[in-house]
Amino acid sequence: MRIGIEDLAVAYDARRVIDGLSVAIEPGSVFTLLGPSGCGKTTLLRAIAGFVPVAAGRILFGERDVARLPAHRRNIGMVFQDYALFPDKTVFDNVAYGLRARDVPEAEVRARVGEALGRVGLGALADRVPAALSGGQRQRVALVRALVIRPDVLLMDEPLSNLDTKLRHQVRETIGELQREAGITTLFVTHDQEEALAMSDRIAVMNAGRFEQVGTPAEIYRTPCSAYVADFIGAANIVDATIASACDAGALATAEIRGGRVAARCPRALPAGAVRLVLRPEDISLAPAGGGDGLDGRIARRQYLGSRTSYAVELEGGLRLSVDRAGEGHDRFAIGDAVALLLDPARCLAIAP
Amino acid sequence: MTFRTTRRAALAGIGALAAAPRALAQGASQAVLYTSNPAQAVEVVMDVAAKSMAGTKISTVTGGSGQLLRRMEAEAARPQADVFWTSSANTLGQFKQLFEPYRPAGLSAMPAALHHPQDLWAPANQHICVLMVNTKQLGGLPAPRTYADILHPRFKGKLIIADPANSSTAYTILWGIERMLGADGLKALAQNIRVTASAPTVFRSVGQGEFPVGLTFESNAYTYVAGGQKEISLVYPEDGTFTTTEFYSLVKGAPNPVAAKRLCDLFASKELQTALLETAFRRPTRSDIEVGKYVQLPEMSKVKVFATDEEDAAAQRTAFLARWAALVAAAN
Amino acid sequence: MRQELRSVWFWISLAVLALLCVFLVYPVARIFLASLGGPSGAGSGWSIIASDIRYQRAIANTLLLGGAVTAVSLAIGVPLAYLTARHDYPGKSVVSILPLVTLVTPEVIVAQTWLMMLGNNGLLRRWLLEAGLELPSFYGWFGLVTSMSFIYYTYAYIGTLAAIRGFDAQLEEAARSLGASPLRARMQVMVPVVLPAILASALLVFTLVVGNFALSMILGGGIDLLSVKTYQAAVSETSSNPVLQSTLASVSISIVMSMLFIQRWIVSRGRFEVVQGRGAAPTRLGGFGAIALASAAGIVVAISLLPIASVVAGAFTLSRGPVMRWGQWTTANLERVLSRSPEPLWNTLTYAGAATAIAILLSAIIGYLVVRRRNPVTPLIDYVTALPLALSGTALGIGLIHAFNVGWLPLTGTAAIIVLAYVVRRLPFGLRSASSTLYNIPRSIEEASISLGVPPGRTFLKVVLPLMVPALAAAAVLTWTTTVAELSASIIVYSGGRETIPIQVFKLIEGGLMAQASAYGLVLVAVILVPIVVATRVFRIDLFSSRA
Repeated sequence: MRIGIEDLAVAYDARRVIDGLSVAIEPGSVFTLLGPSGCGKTTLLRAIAGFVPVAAGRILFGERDVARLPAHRRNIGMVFQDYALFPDKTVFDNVAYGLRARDVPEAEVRARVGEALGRVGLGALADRVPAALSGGQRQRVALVRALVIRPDVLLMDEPLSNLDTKLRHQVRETIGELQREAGITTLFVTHDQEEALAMSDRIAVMNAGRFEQVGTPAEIYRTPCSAYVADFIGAANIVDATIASACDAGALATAEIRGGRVAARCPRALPAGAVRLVLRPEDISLAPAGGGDGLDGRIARRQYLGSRTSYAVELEGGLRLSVDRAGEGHDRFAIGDAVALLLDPARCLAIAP
Repeated sequence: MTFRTTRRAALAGIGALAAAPRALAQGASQAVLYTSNPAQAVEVVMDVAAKSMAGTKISTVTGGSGQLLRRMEAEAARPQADVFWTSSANTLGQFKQLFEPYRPAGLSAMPAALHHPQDLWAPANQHICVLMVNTKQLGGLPAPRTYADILHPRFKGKLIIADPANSSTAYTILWGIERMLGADGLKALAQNIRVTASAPTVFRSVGQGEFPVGLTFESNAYTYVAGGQKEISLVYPEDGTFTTTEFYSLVKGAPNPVAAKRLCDLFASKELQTALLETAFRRPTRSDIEVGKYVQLPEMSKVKVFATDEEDAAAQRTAFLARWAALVAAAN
Repeated sequence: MRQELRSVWFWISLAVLALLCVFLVYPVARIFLASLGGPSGAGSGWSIIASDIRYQRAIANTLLLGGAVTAVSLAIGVPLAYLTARHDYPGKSVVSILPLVTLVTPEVIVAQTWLMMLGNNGLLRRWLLEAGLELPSFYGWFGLVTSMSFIYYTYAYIGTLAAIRGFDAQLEEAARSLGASPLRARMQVMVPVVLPAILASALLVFTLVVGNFALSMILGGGIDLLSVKTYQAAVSETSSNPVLQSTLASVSISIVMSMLFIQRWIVSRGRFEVVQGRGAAPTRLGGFGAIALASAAGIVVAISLLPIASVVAGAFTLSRGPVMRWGQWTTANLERVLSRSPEPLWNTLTYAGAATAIAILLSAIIGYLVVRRRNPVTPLIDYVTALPLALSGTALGIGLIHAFNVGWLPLTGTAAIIVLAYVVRRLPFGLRSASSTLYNIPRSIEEASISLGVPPGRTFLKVVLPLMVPALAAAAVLTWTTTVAELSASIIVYSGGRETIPIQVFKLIEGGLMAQASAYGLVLVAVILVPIVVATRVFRIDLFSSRA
C-alpha cells in the first residue's frame, strides 16, 4: 500500500516542530528516517502511527486519510525500541493479541500465530513469557506480533538500538526477510547510518523537523546535498574552498583549498565563491611524494584498524585530511613520511557552504 | 489469573456478609434502646432480654444522657429510638415532647410516689450517690466521711466528677450539694474537682487509681468492690446524700412500637430488676425485692438521705448548668 | 483543546474531580469556613480559643508532645536502623519483623496494653510493687511519650534504614582514602545524605502525634491535648458549638499542613541527589558489642510485641466486671464476642471491605489519569488527593458530620459515611502505590496494544490493570490492615448499631471492661493478621516493595 504525507504539521505546545512535510512511499518499500536525537524522526513516525496529534496536513494510507483517526483504527503494525511485549502474557498470547482484538476465530488465530512463530524459529518458545527470552528473541516476537495482523504499514522505532552489535545484524536480516516476504510498506526510524544504508530502499535524512535530503542509499552516500548529510552518513572530510567561476550542475570546477587546488564535481549548480568540498577518506589515494601529481602532504597520524589503515595527512598550509586505505599493507607509510594525495574529481563533491 | 478470581471471590464473600446480617435482622423483630448506662448494666438487660424476649434483637446506642436526648431531638421527625433508659426526671422533664405515655405491667409493684402522673416515664431503678474512694491513692489524706470534707482545699485535684450537662448522675449530685451546702459549698467544690466529659471515666479512673475520690452512683462504684478490688470503698456521706430515681420511657413515634412496649414491660419486671441488682448493683424500684438478699449494700433505710425536689431541679437546670460552668471556668 | 474534549479520559477526569470535590474538598472547606463563625452571630471559633486558656494549653501541649515523641522515636529508631543496616548481630532477623508488628497492632490495643500492664491497677505495676519498686503514674506525660514512642519509632526506623541501605558506600570509602578517620568519614559523608530521610521521618512522626487519638484519650490523664479537645467538642456538645469543633479541627489541619510545607521546603533546598549506590555490606559484630546490641534490639522488639501478647492473655482472663482476675482463665469473653455480640465484627468486615475495594479501584483509576493521561484537569486532581494527608482522623470526622448532616446529601446515620471516612483517609496511600507501579509500566506497552487495534479504554483493562495487580494487591492488604483498625474518624461519624471493633474496644476500655475489650482486640488482631499471612505466604505478595 502506498503511504504518503502531505503538508504535514505537528505541534508541541503551540510550536510547530514539523511543518509542511510531504513525501510518498512506494508500496512494499522500506523508507528510513535517519538523523540524530531531536531531529524529529520519532515524532514523525509517531504522528503517522497516531500517538502524536496532527496539527495540519494529510496522512494517506492508500486512498484513506488517517490523520484524524485514532491510532487503534489505523491498522498499523508497530515495533518498539524496548520491544513492548506484554510481560504477563505468553509469547503465543502476545502474538495472538492483535488477531483476537480483531475477532479472528480462534482456530485461525492458532494457525496464523503458529505459522508466524515458526517462520522466525520461535515455535518451541510459544509458551514462554517474555522475561524468559533473550533480547533478540523478544524483538523477533515483537516483529511477528506486528506483522501477523497484516497491517497497512509497518512502523519501526529504532528496533535494533537495544541489541548488541552481533544480534543487531542477525535481527536486521530477519526484518529484511520478513518485510520482503510480506511485501509490506515499512517506515523505519534509526540514528545508525549503517543500518539505514543496509536496510533501506530510500532514506530521508532529517534535520530539525525537515527532510534535509531524500534519496536512495547510494544517492545519499555518493551525492550528499549538504555538509550535514555528508557528515551524517559515512565519514567525510569537509573542507572549505572557493571556486573562481560559477559551475553548472554536474560540471567540474576547480576549487582552491588551503594547500593546493582540487578538481571537484558540482552535483548542483553553484555560483562563484565559497563552497564546501566533501571528500570521503576512502576516495583519496596516497603515493610517495615527488610524483608531481596531487597535493603534497605529510603523514601526521596512522591507525591500523584491521580491515583498513586510517591516516591523517597534513597538507602544506596546515589542513588535515583523513585518508583510509584498505588492502595496502599496514606499514606502507610511516608517520612523518612525505606523501602525495591523489583525488578522483568524480568522487570529490563541491556543495554549497 | 488465580489472583483475580480469588480476590473477586473474597469481595463477593464480603458482599454476601454485608447482606447477611441485615437479612437476619429483617427476619426477627428488633428494638432500639438508647441508653446512658454503662456496659455492665446494658449487658444485664441484653442477657435477660435474650431469654424473656427471645426473637427480638435489642440493639443499643450508648452515650451521655444529654447527648442522646439531643440526638433524639434531632431525630424527632423520624425517630430511630424505641426506648430511652435512663435519666433523672430532672433531665427528662426538659424533653417531654419526645416521649409517649405508657403504663408498663409491673408498675403496680412500685411506690406511687415514683409514678409519673401521665405515665410519661416509669421508674427503672434507684441510685444512691456515694463517694467512691480509692484508699491506696489517698496518700496521707484522711478518708472523707462527708460532703463537707471534700470541700477542704487539701482535696484540690483529687476529686473527679462527670460533666453535669451530659450526665444526670453528676447533675443530681451537684444540684444536691448546692442545696445542702449552699452556693459557697458548690464554689469550693468547683475549686477542687476535675470535670470529665464522659461519665464512665469517673469510676474507671478511681478504680484504676488515677483519682482518690470520685462522685458517682453506688452501683458504678460497687462493681469494683464486688470485683475484688480491696482498695475501693464506698462512702455514704454522713451529712446526707442524694438519691435519685432513674426513669425510662417509650419514645414517641418509636419505629418498633410492639417490641418497644415489651421492652418497657421488661424493665418493670421482677426478673430484670433482680438481675440488675445482682449483677449491676442497681437498686430496684419494685418494692417486692429485698436488697440485702442479693448484695452487700446497706438498706435504703440505713442511709441518710438529703431530699431534693426533682421538679425544681428540672426547672432550674439551664440556670444551674450556667452557674456551674462559670464556677468551673473561674477555678481553672 | 478539541482533542481533549473528544477523549473519554477527559470526561472521566472531570467525573473524578467532581467526586473528589463533593466528598473531600467540600467537607474540608466547610471546616475552615465554619470556624469563622456562624450566622447565629456566635463569635468565631478563633476568638473562643484565644480567650480560653485551656485550648491554648492544649495546642501548646500537643506541640510539646509532638517534639518529645519525635525526639525519643528518633533516638530509638535511627540507631536501630543504622545497626541493622551496617551490622549483623544475633537476632537481626527478629528485628526485621518490626514494621509488620507495628502495622498489625491497632493503637487502641496498644493503649489498652499499657493500661493493663502499667496502669495504676496494672499487672506489671503490681508485680513491681510486690518486689518493692514503685513506678511513677503512667498517666500523663510519662505514659504518652513512652507509648507513642514505642509505636512511632518504627517510622523513623524504616525511613532511616532505607536511606542508609541506599547510601553509596563508595562515598565513604572516598572520604577515607582522602585521610578521614572511619568515624569521621561516616559522619561527614553519610549523615548529610541520610539526613533528608531522617527529617522526613521526624516530620511524619510529629504529624502522627498531633493527630493521635486513641493513646491521647486513654492515657492522657489530665493533660489538655488538641486531639482530645477536638473529639470532646464533637461528641460532648457541652454548648452545642459546631463552630468550636470546626476551629479546633482547623488548628489541627493547619499544624499538619505547616509540617508538610516545611518538609517540602527542606527537601527542595537540599541538593542531595541520592544516587542509588552500592550499599555497604553489613559487618558482623562480635563480643560484648553484639550481645549488648542484640539485647537492646530484643527489648525494643519485645515491647513492640507486648500488646499482642497481652491482648491474647486478657481475652482469656476471667473478670468480674472491671476487675481482672489474672491467672484465672475463661472462654466466656470470646463467646460473647463471637456469638452474643458479633455485630462489631460484621460491621468491621463489611465497612473495611467496601472501603478497601473502593479505595483501590479509585486509586487505580486516578493513578492512571495522573500518570498517563495528563490533561488540564489532572493537576487539580493531584493536589486534591493530597488533602487527606493534612487531616487527622478527628478533623475529618468533624468535617464529614457537618457536611453531610442535613440538606442535599444526608449521610450521617448511615454506613456510607463510615466507609467514606475510611476511603478518604486511605486514598493518598493507595494512590501512591498505584502511581509508583504505573511509572514502572512503560508507555510503549500501552501503545503496542493500541497499535494492534485495541482502543485506549480497553487497553487499560486488558494490559495495564493486570500489570498493576501485584502492587494493587499489596496496597489492598495494607489498606485493609489500617482501615480495620481505624478509630479517630469513625468514632465521630458512626451511629448506633454501627460500631466497628475499634470503636467497641474503645468504649469497653472507657467503661473499664478490659477483659471484654481484649476479646474484641484479639478478634481484631486476627482480622488483621489473616489477610497478611495469606497474602505473603500464599500469594507471595511483597507488602513493602512500594514503601519508601
